[in-house]
Formats: sequence, structure tokens, C-alpha cells
Amino acid sequence: MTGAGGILGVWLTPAIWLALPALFLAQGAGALWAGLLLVAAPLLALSLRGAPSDPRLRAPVPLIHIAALFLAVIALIWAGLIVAGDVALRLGGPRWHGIALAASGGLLLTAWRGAGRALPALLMIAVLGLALPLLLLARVAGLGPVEAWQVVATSPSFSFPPGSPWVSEGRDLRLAQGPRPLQFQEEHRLTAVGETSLRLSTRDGRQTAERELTLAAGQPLTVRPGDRLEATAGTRLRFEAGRRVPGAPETGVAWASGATSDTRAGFLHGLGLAVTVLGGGIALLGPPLVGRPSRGALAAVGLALVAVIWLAQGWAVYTALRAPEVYLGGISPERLLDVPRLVFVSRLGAWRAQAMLVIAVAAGFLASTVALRARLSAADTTGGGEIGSDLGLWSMVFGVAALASLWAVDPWRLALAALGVAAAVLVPAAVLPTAASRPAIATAAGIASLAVFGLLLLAGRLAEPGAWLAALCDLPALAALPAGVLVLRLAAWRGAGA
Amino acid sequence: MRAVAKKSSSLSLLAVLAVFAILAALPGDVAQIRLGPLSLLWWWGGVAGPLAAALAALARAGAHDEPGAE
Repeated sequence: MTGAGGILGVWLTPAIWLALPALFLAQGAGALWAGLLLVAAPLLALSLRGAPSDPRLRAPVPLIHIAALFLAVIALIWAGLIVAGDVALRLGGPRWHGIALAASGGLLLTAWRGAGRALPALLMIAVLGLALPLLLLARVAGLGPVEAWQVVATSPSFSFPPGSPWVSEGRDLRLAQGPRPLQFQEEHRLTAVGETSLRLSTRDGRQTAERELTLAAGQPLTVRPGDRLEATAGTRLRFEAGRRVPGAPETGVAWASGATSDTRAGFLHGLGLAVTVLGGGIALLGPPLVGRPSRGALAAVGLALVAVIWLAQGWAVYTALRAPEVYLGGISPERLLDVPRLVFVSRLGAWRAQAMLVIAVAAGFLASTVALRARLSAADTTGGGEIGSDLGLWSMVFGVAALASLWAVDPWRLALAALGVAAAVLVPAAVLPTAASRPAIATAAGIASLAVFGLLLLAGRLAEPGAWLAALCDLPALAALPAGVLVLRLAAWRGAGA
Repeated sequence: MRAVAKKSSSLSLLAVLAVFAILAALPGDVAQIRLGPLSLLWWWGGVAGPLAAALAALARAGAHDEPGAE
């Protein structure tokens, strides 16, 4: 668990590393904070003093901590399976195919006792699968990454290129549409490829009108700024070349600056992200980690993290430069799979690049399941680490996670929730270790943290909170972690007064 | 589960994050000033900051834990 492979496998689950390019693409400079935190968190966790290598010298880990880690591991596996399902859907297959294949692979590795030895190879495959198509993309673009960034950052808009399949032949709108309808920022003339049914929402002053439309093949439809379009199954439309892509940032300058309108809410969100990611890193990779990683392992982890954030930026920049149609309807991580099809002229070249990305996701997911189970074993000092290799238990975990991942959830948000739960329960004990050494108090603090976390998460789903509360509901560790610290602090004062 | 930070390494990592936060919060769009091809914010957040974080962690990696420390 102290090897570079184990550390990177725990941290770089596909739900996290595939989300990074999507975040950079969607938010530009707004994603730099998340990227920097994802690099710093594991390094910060590894700079904390580890538990002694002799298990007899290690303090037992409270059951509530094991439970929280287990919950976080399940949620991270669940997020990975959602990514696998999304990838299958993007490739044109049913969601459950990707989920079932990934879950079966994870379960097979659970049955193989020597799976840990495959970790470095799996991670290497994942990195190469992400890096090689990017090199091909850069070659096609004919620009270095810095020049490409300059072009994107100064572009007046992200518009449909003339050669785009969305312009020339038209595509199924479901390939573009996220959970929300398409919203147009400027007038746009669409053309139906076949008979098409649409729901168009138009605004006239303060009034909004909705109407159902049926277009014959070749029939045009003009939409105005502010109109929203929802497609039904099988809607194929052609877009106008040179027009702004609905869902894209306004300009390259806006993308490069990443400016937000509400700076105070943005500050709270940034703080919440820092508490969640740094706390999650400490919970997953900090003490009780068996021993300390070697200098070589730490160097490998640092270099790999830097490589991943650079690769993520590279993907975002070249995609915005060569395939801005990806913005259509909003960005989701698996949209990267569309990029080769939009950029490469040769079908074989596009297919190869796409296959490399799929292999990268699969290898990254398998590596993360092995590493996460090993992490749980390392924390389970009283059970001798059996929890990580219990085939019956993991069959159930993969089964439940696979079923849950049929329900479409944003994998990045789910991964953040996993990190948040682990941070809220485990980090207070790292801050006040003496108070947390009594199991009853550690349990009470853990339950308090989990309760605050759950309540805020629920409040975010049921109500529509204002900007400030929304940041807390999005990233509940910001309140749940201090709640755990408060319980431990109160217990310490009471203990000192008694 | 006592986490005693190896202070200088942890502080250097937190400093990397703090520099970014301060840069982003500076008034007058200072972070958007171009230094060569990239803006200051991208230089630190996307290029130099991650590298500095990795180097900060590595700089202290040679030191060993005291035996029995917890």
C-alpha cells in the first residue's frame, strides 16, 4: 500500500481523472483550483507521519472509521461503474454492458490474490491510453500546447466548424444532450435530417411558451437567443457552420479567465472543495498507512500527478480548439470519446484513438478497485486485513454498486461525496488524536459528522438553497468535518474537567 | 492515528495552494496578466504550481520517521 501504484490507484479513480479534462473544458481557469488540489492532496497526506510498520505498535482503528472508509470505497467504485456505463452508452451500446463488464473485471481481480502485482502495469496502460491519443490530436492540430492555449484563449466564440458532422450530415441530438435542454445564445437555423419531433420553449418578454413541433426531412427551424430545445428519441438535426455552439463558454477570454459572477459563493465553494479534497486525501492516503513510501515511490507519485493534470489540460485545450461541438448541451467526462471521431479524418485513426481511451478507462477502473481494497485492508488492523479480500463481501459490493450505477448520477459529484464522507469522519481524529483514542468518543464524533453530512446532502436534494447554503449542500464536508472536531473538542474538555 | 505533520513539507504544499488562492483573489484582474503566452493564473495553477507541489513533497522525502512514532 506504500508503493506508488497503490497510492495512485486509490487516488486516481476514473471518476476523478476523467472528470479533470471535462472540468478544464467546461470551466477553463475555474478548474485550476480543483486540479491543483487533486495534485496537492495525496502529497500532503503522504507528508504526514505514517503509522509504525509493526502492527503491534499501531493503535486500533475505530469501527466507525473503517465503516466510513468502506462507504467511501464503495462510492468510488460506484462512480467508476457509472463512468463505465456512460462510456458504453457513448459508444452506442446499452449502459449495462459497460457496467457489467467493469464489475466482472473488478470481481475477477478480487478473486486473484496476486492482483496487486498488476497495479503498475494497469496504471501504465491507463496513462498511455490517455497520452497517446492526445499526441495524435496535437499532431493533427499542428500546434504546441501553449500555442493551442493562446488560440483558444483569444477566440471570439466557440462555433461549429464547417467540416463538423453536426453540420455536414447531422447527428442524433441525444449524443449531445445532457440532462438539460439545449439553450441557444444566438439565432440559429437548424435542419431536420429525417422526420423529427421536438419540444421548443421560446421566451417573449417575460412570457415563456412551449410547443411541440414535428419537422419533415429537410425542413428548417429557426431558433432565437434564449430558446430551449428538447429532443425526442431519434432526433437528427444539422446545425449551421460558424454559429456559436449552445452550451459553450461565451468567448475564449471568458474561458481562460474562469470568472464567476458571485465571488463570495465562489469563495465558499472553493473552500468546500479544499476541505473535501485535502481531507479526502488525508483520509484515504494518510495515517494509518502502513509504513512510509520510499523517496522513489513519492517521486513517482508526484510525477504521475503532474503528468495527469498536464494531460487533462492538454485534452481540454485541443478539444476546445479542434472539436468545440463537444460543448453542445454541456460537458460530461465521457464526451472525450467523441473527440477522435470529430477530429480525425480517417475512420480507422478515430477508432484507434477511441479504443485507446476505452482501454485507459478500463485499466484505470481495475487498478482503482485493487488499490481501494488494499487501502481498506491496511486500515483494518484488528481483522488482519481480511476485509479487502473477502470474495463474498466484494461480490455483494460490486453487485450493489452495479445496480446503483444504472441510475445516472454525475460521477465527479459522487467521487467528491466519497472523499467528503471519508474526510468528515477520519480527519477530526487526525486533528485531535488524544480525544479520538477513546472508541466511544471517536464513534460519537463520527456519527455527528455523518449526520451533518447526510442532512446537508439531503437538504440540497429536497430544497433549493441560496448560493451560500448551496455550497454547503454541494460539499457538506465543509460543515461535517468541523462538527466532528467540535464533538471531540467537547469530549476533551469534559474529560479534562472530570 | 496521530498525524504529526512533517511541517516544512506540509507547509510548502499549503503555500503552493495559498499562492494560487491569493493570486485568484487579487483585485484588478492581476491574475489575468499575460506572462509570455499564458496568464499568471494558468502559469501557477496549471504549470508551475503542480510541479512545485511535487518538488516540495519530494524535498523532504529523504527524512525518516522516528521509530515507534505514532
